[in-house]
Amino acid sequence: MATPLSRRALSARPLPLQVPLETSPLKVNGRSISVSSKRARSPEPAGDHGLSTVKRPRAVPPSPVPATRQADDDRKDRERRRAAREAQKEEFRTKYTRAFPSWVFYIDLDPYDSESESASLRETLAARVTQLGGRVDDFFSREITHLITDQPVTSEDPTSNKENAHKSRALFSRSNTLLKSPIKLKGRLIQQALSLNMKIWSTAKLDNVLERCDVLAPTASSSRQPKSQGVPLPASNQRSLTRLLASERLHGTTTERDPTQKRHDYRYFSKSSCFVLVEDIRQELATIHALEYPLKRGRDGKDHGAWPVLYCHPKARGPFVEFDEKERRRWEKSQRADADKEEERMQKVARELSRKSQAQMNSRKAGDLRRSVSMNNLHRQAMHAGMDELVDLDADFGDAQDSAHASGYLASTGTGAYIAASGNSVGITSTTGTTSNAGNVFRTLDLPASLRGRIQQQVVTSRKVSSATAIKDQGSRKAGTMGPPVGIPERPNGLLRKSRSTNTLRLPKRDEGSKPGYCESCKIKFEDFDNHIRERKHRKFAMDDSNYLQLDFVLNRVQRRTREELEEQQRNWAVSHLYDRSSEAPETVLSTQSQDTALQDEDDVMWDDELDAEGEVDLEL
Amino acid sequence: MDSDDGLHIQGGVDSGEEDQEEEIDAQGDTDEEMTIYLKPPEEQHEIEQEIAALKLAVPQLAEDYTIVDRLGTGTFSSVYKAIDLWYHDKWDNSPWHGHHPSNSSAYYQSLPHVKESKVFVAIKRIYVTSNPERIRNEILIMEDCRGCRHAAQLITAFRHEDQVVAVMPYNRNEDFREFYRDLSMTGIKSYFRCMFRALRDIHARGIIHRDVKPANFLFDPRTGIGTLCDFGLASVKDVVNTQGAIQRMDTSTPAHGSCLHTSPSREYPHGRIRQRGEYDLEQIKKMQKEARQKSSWPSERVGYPDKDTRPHSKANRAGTRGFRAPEVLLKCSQQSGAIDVWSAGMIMLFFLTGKFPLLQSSDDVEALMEIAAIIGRQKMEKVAVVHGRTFATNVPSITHDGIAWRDFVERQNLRLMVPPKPDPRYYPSSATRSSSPPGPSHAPPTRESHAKDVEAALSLLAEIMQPESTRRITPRGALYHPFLADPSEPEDDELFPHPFGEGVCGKWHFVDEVTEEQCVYVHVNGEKKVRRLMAGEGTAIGGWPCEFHREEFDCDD
Repeated sequence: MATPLSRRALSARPLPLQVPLETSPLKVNGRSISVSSKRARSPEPAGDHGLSTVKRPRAVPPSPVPATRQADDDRKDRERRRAAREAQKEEFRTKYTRAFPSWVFYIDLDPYDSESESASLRETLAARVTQLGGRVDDFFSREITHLITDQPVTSEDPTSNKENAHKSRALFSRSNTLLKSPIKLKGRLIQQALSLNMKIWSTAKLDNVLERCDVLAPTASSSRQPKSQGVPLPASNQRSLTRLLASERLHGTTTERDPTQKRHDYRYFSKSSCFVLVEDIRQELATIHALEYPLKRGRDGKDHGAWPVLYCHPKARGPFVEFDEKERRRWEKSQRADADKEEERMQKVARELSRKSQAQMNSRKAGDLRRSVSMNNLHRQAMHAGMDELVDLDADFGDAQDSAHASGYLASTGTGAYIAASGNSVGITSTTGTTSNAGNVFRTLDLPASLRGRIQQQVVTSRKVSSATAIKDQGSRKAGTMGPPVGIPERPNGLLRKSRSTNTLRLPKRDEGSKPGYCESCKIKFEDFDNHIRERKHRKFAMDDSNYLQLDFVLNRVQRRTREELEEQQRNWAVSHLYDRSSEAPETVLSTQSQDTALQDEDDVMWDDELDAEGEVDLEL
Repeated sequence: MDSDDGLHIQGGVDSGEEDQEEEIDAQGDTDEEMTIYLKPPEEQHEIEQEIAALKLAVPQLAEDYTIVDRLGTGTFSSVYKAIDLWYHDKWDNSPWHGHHPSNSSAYYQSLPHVKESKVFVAIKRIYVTSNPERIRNEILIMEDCRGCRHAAQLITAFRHEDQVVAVMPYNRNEDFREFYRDLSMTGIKSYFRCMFRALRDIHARGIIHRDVKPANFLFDPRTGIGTLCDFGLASVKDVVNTQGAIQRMDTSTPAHGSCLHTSPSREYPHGRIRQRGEYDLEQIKKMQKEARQKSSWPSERVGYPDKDTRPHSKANRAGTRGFRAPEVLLKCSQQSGAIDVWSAGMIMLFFLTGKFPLLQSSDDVEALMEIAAIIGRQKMEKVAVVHGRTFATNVPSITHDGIAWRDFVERQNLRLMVPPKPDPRYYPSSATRSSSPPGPSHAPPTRESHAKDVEAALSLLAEIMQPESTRRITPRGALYHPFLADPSEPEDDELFPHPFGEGVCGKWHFVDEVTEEQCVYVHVNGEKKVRRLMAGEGTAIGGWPCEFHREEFDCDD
């Protein structure tokens, strides 16, 4: 978003950005030092005067002659021009500052070359880039937007030497895969960068841009200090006063910021939307939750959002369900179903009682009756379970996002790629894993409505596909593979197959033919459970006992003993008794107790900090 | 690991196939061996295939068990019903049976099966794509749960190549949706006594279940017995306590985003608010004020860092939607057993409102908003601060004060005060006819007794659904609450199975430093000898010593 903006800025800008290559880094540094005490962005005319005096002494020559009208006009004209220049400078600064966070730099300077200045130059440049929110990558990949190099730019195609050359990027799929190692690329780096439409800047140009964005090079002494580390510390870790001041200069605010000030690196909720924002009170952790509820204008002309509204209607299914006409019909239906069910049950009990007395009179085959009764009891339970399927409330609240999480196979991956994995109809399932997955937090914001719709669609499609494959795959499914159960298996011999009406053909409850997921042992995602566990890699893991050493240790301990083993243990124990008695000095219970008391003391110490807890803080702030 | 290892009977029968000839009796005993034949033929065949596959994958199963049916399938495992062929002759079953006294509700766990009877077990097949370490964690926790009341007991577990199976007692149970609207107050009390005893016992061992919900609490409404199962998501943290036994509670303080409350400790099982001076009160006040301002600003002025480089919260959020406590949703990094208590409270709400499920949100932030819609903005802001968070929202349905849980229940259930007709199928009415745990025969509830029960239940509910985890009632507290405490029964402390190394004879218990084996000193002829134990052995209960130290305390074994 910021990039096209900055491009416009570049083309509109008349100032020469390309600093001659011969400008040595040292010279750049030297110049920076001289101006570092000044604030270029100050809009006050007085400041402008001061700035230009320092920066361009010759531009404002001290006039020994008294001011004439001509000189006055000249001065006004100069001021006008200066004002225009300042405005341009300001525009440059704003636009570049905005663009930096979206840029990724690769600095083609040897970080380990301590002989020349290149290592320290690289370090300072990287630090300054980070300060502006840009990123410096240590690896040359397609992700890079700017190549910083002092190598001469040569190309067969001279037109592509322009940083704004418009070449279709679609030709190069900019996946994040790393290109070849930078060492191998030496020399070809620039060509690669050209072919990927990266911008190629010299170190001097980067320095210049940074300087004009008010990110000044540190003084020579401080730049040399953290020499040992090749990789520069991220700016956020540098809590020095210098950095804080620099950041203040940059953002016009301190980190003790004014919250009403809009920030370029922030994402804001849409106008007149409803939102929830949960943040770490110490600001140390990334945003905990941020959710925006899109507003929809209802028929009544009021805005409605998808946020929970507490109705607590006694006849609605849940507290957040509005009891409207639809819900009323549903309620009436369920009331009828309940009544029917109850009546049926009572009838059955009555019939059973009469049958029982009948059976008692007949008094033979009592056992058989008992059996048939019990079978029927289970039958009833099974039937009820089936009915519950029909009123599975979860179906109404189904959510693609959640089904992705519900899949145990995904455990911690949490990507949207295997959304259909769980396909379970039992509404409420567990998830595992931690909350390090950020993508999920902002889901409503991240996914435009159209995309969300598409994901829903994908779920449906993939379900269809997988149930289709379920039937196809059955033949190939071998006994001995321990996958989660697959769908309806076809009978191996057609003889047993009964003709089934369509409504008795039940789709599998929660299983699909191909079961994608994640194997925690092999640490890979798989497309199909059964295939994966037969793969060489997985078999190798399974056959290697060393992978199960610690588990076996525990399994060994919990193994049920046979009575024989117990008896043997007790015999051994009795023997060791005899042995102990002869070899060891008898220990007294007293000594154990004192030892235990010592342990007790330690324990007391351990809990001490908990025990002296008094004066709870009143959090009514 | 998953949820739906709930051993409820799956599958269904098309109503058209229903056999009108056969009649049922609510008390009919089921032939547990034949249950598979009640399922539709397609499912039967599928189950048979799976059973064959399981036998192949774990050859040592066939010798000792006959698998007869599938009990449930989940995302991380499947559970099968099997006959424990040599229960009576081959095995030493004492470690997992334990020694619960006859006046304990868990006595049935210690009661050996009747001679010659068929013994059924549940075999849990953990899918082979689970990491060995994750499986080890689950087995370790189950090992520690030996001796816990109303928690699934581990009989044995073994591995063949990548396939691990765990064997547990089979508990007959019914689907929650079948009985939650019909269970009497006595039945509900029985449900929660079992639930909180299970939670009290596992929490005392430093274990948080993390996935308490109806599907993981196998309840038989005919007997009133419930069993907490599926420790696949349960978590522990190691801290050494007295006697060197492993006590697991998270007392570590994370580097970032730590809460304003402490980690759980013995004194404060749900943590407590930190003392003044342990945090920057001024900063917190300032941030809270800022968050309140944000709630009132135009939305387009409220923002957050776009490309956040700060570390993300690593808090454990394992669990099931609709059952996660506010602190889980706020990504609290020092969670305690209080999260299980909240989930149990959600189940209590199902009983009291007669609705299930209640919360329908699909993700954490929406779940937080549902809770906020109930408890109100003020309480939610305060809860957030306790966990080191700020909560800002301009959603109009979030009121300042919210509503009380009592109102939440009463508004949704207009028949709350009407005593239900005794249901002959369910406890306690059923208890008079079938074998069941000790339970006094109850007269049908009167309007007065029912109203009293409802009052007590609502009062307990408010303490369970306390959004601030540090102020939420502990399982022990719940058991002593008037709703669950029964003056005619011994109090819970007397029946509490102590964690290993605690209780009156704790000083004679220790864990071998090298082998990590549990050991006891046994006194033989005035000499002290060391004896190694299996998990579950040597559990002191209430004021009583364990089975190895009865003589020292002059008890008759």
